[in-house]
Amino acid sequence: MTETVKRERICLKKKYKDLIFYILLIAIPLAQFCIFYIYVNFNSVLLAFKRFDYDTGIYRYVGVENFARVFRDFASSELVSASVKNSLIAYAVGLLFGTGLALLFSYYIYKKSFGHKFFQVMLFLPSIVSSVAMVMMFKYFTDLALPEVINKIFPGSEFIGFLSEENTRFGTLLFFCIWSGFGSNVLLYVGAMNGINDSIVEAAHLDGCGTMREFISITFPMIFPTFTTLFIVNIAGIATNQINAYLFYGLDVPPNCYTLGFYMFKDLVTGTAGLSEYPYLSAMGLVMTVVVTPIVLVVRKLLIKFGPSAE
Amino acid sequence: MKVKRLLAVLMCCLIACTMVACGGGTGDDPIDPTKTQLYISNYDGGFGDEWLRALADRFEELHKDDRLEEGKTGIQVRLVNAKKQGNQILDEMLTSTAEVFFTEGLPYRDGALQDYFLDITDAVTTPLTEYGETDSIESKMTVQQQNWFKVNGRYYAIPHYEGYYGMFYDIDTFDTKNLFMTDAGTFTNYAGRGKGADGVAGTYDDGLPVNMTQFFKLLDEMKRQGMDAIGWPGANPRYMSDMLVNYSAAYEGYAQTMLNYTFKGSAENLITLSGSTVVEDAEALPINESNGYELRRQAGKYYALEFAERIIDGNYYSSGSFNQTSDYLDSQTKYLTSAFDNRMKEIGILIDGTWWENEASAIFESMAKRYPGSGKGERRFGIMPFPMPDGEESRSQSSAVVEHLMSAAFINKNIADYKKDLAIDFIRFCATDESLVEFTKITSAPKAFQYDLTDELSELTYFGQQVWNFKQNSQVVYKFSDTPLYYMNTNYFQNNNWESGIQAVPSVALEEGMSAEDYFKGMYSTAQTSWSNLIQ
Amino acid sequence: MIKKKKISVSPLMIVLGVVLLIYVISLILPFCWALMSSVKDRLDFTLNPFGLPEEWLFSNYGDVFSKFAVPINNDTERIGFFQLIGNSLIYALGCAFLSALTPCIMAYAVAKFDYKFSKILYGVVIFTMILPIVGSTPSSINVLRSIGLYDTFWGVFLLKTHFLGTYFLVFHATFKNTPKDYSEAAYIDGGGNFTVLFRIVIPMIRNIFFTVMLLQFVAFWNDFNTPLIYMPNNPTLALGIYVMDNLNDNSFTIPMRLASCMIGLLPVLVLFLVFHERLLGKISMGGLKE
Repeated sequence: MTETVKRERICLKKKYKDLIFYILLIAIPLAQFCIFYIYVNFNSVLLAFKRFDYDTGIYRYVGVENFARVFRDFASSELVSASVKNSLIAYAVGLLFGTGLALLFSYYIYKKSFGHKFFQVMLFLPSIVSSVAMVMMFKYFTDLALPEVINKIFPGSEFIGFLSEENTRFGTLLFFCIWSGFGSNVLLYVGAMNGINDSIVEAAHLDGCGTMREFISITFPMIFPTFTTLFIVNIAGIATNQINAYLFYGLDVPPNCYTLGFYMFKDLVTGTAGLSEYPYLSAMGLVMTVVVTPIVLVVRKLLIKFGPSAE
Repeated sequence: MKVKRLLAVLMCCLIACTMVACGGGTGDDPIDPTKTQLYISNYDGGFGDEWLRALADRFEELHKDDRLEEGKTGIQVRLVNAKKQGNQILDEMLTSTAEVFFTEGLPYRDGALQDYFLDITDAVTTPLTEYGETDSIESKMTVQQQNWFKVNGRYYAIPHYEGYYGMFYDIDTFDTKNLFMTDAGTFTNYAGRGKGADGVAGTYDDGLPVNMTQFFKLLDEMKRQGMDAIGWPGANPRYMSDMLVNYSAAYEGYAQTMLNYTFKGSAENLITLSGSTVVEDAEALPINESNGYELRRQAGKYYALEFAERIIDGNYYSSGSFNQTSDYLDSQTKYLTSAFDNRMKEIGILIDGTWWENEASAIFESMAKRYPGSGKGERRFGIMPFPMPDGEESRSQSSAVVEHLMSAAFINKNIADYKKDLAIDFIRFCATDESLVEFTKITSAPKAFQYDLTDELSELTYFGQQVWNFKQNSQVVYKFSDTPLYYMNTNYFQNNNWESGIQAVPSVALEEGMSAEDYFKGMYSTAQTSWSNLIQ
Repeated sequence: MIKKKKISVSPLMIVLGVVLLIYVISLILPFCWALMSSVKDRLDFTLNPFGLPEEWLFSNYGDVFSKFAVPINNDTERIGFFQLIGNSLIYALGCAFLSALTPCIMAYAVAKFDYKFSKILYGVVIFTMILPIVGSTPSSINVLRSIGLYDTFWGVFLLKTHFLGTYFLVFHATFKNTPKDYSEAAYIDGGGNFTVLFRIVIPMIRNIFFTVMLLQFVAFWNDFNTPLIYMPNNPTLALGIYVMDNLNDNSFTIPMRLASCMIGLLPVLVLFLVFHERLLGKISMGGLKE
């Protein structure tokens, strides 16, 4: 009997110790969060339920009027459906080429193939350069250099530029996002791959496993957690991704480059939002968050459940 | 590795540098500890800061014996150049210690209601007697300006400068290439110019196309001579659309254009399209806040779109006009150098704003080093009148123009008490006739007030004189209004007034193949649907 | 015994190698063009964008360098290039460390202790990652002002000591997948929670920690928004470039802008090239090497 009681007491003591430890760990970050996030942004969220009264100069509560306007706008605006379509395409392309290539490039580097050190540095370089500089270099190249070359090779074609022509604009923006975005993903994947136990890999090689097979059966499952994390971050980003539209086009983004993120926050990003518009923007942000959060959590659960496990 | 060690040492040196301020000097002049400082923030865009320096010097001279602080005599004015627009200006107020601000694109009402600006009602309404004038600042403003700048009966800012979009050309180029027109509509040089649309010799439209047919005849002639007829910045398509707004204003006239801002009155030129035939409304339509979208059917807007369509479909534009790398400075550079450099097709007409000559000062400087006779003020630029549809040539007499810059001056509310009177005095000082004239002399651009230039007119550049005369003969419509629908949705009305379906910029839509008719119809239906979404 | 490793080059690797080469060329070309254009004069750039410079205006760099002076304290002082770099270093290092440490600790707590609160915290992170905040700058400035930390490095560090964002998720996934064997062994040996955290877990994940810190460092190096709003009198290099870009607009030509980008790029490129071997996953993480 005393043995069980003793064990229980040790168990309780450990649970108590664990709880103290837990609280100690999260105390400061949580306090910072409460002050610098909740307190500071509280009003911004409440704004969604208010309306600016120009006569008195204050915001007053009006219930869900702004939310109704958000839904009406979404239902009636043609630009919304174009934006949603673009957001989804951007996501799909980003997944296929961005994530796909990142995984393959990381694998190349992890395998210490020819020139891997050099490639690793080069892949990371665009992340170091400020986005303003990258955009400028890219823009002049695609809309001044390349058209000249193209018009020389195909005389009489009068191609203006990749960002200027209607048919190539959106694709060029997507290309830019992928082209300059390998840095952090590759870094994280390579780091994760380097953590794979060498003995497993050697065993597989002894069994005659080829490069591709190794990737599918060993490397990818072993880094699946990292992959899941970045995957759900991407999903969370569907509704906020602006594919650098503002950096390239400024105030006049052509409609076929609109994404949902840009559509919703164009006025905020360009700094033209008026006082009376903040409640509307706040409501729109809330609606979007409330819709996307559960999706992200569900996707995460599914991935963990059905994805390859480290076993 | 030795290299690594070296770099590590270098890094330590750099961190050590933060302990010592080894930065550059302290700007133009050092702080004078014997004087009180007044800090002025200036939007250093197309108008520069030379005018402000001149103003500040005179102000310092006037106040050199003032004692505002213990042990200090006199004032030192220091300039802070800040290129902020829109809400950035208001954000800057949170951290800036500048006292007086000269801005562009100011969200005035929002700022006033959030208590950023000092109340300067007395300063604006009291006559400027201490400067020998009987007028007050308020009396130099138009009624539209007064209504806007008065928020709940109080003034918190005053207008600053103004500018309008339009088409500009080089008179000497037209002369040598015989691009002017006679009364009969044939081509000639400067000496043989016809009277223009107003039928009066000696006015700015002499020798220029009187209607659409003549205008496109001119463009065809330019094309025949191997020129690109018109150029505008591809990266700033708004330049083209804002020019169309002025085309529409020129067609409609002052009263009808004002309707777009006041929503009070009767719309007389509304049309519908049956195919591409214009059908005028049988009766004038009373306009109010709930049916304001009907104004999208103004005939002027349709003709403006047609005008743009003909330019674009006829391929009369330069290569930079739709290129994303060509911003307004690049467009000016191309226009200016095309006349001197054989590597480019010469551009005949530039679409820009009336401030463009000043804005291009640095470009003129670079050019003067290479091409003689290309410096600022050495070339004579003129304003091209908007060609009215055939048969309606007389409309060009109405001369209404829409002002786009929304520039204003105000005082930061959170400044030291002892400086408030000084700042107020500066504001009054900058609105005296002498100061207004000095601004125009230096920048060759008008201030957004009513004042006179007599002898000083000849001191402006040729183009500056053109702009001045243009302003004297036009009625300026400002893009603001004290009608609640307008000021509660300022962003919509200032930036999205020509939305059509998913397009917001007519030139881009037209270039992509949309017709002017479809765009016009789309403008109406889009406005109709989104009207209920405006804050009312 | 020396095992002779068979160097087999799989077709996949060849294809990837070629693709990577093309990618690198696509990076180098615009960069070289930018470098060449940065020594042109305004007209040369417009009329001759792809030829060699008519005149090699190295003075562009001189001009830009001397213009690299950010006015502070109402223009009573100007911060020059080297001090800007110094400020950038302090800012980026401090913020990088704190913004890597905080999510790391938080993620450990949430991953290892399965309380309900942990689930809520995880949901909060996702929620805040999506929710856009509208118009909160004035209130955050006011909070910093009221505790007297506005316009200081410590104030900005405090601002960045938050656990939100992608890296929380990255750490969380890492912790969830680190083998429990070592920590359990430590518990059985009588070690407490702190011992396990500091002597076992953190060394195990130090690779990913440094990776996150590096990524954050680069992000903060290029961040001009935060110093602009919260620390205007301690400008960083990124802020210097931003201020310069917005000051003398019309006499500041595009070649000069490109020059300023090159100059801004140099310090962090040097840093990166020096430290990249250490930080880019060279430390293998097969287990504890006692």
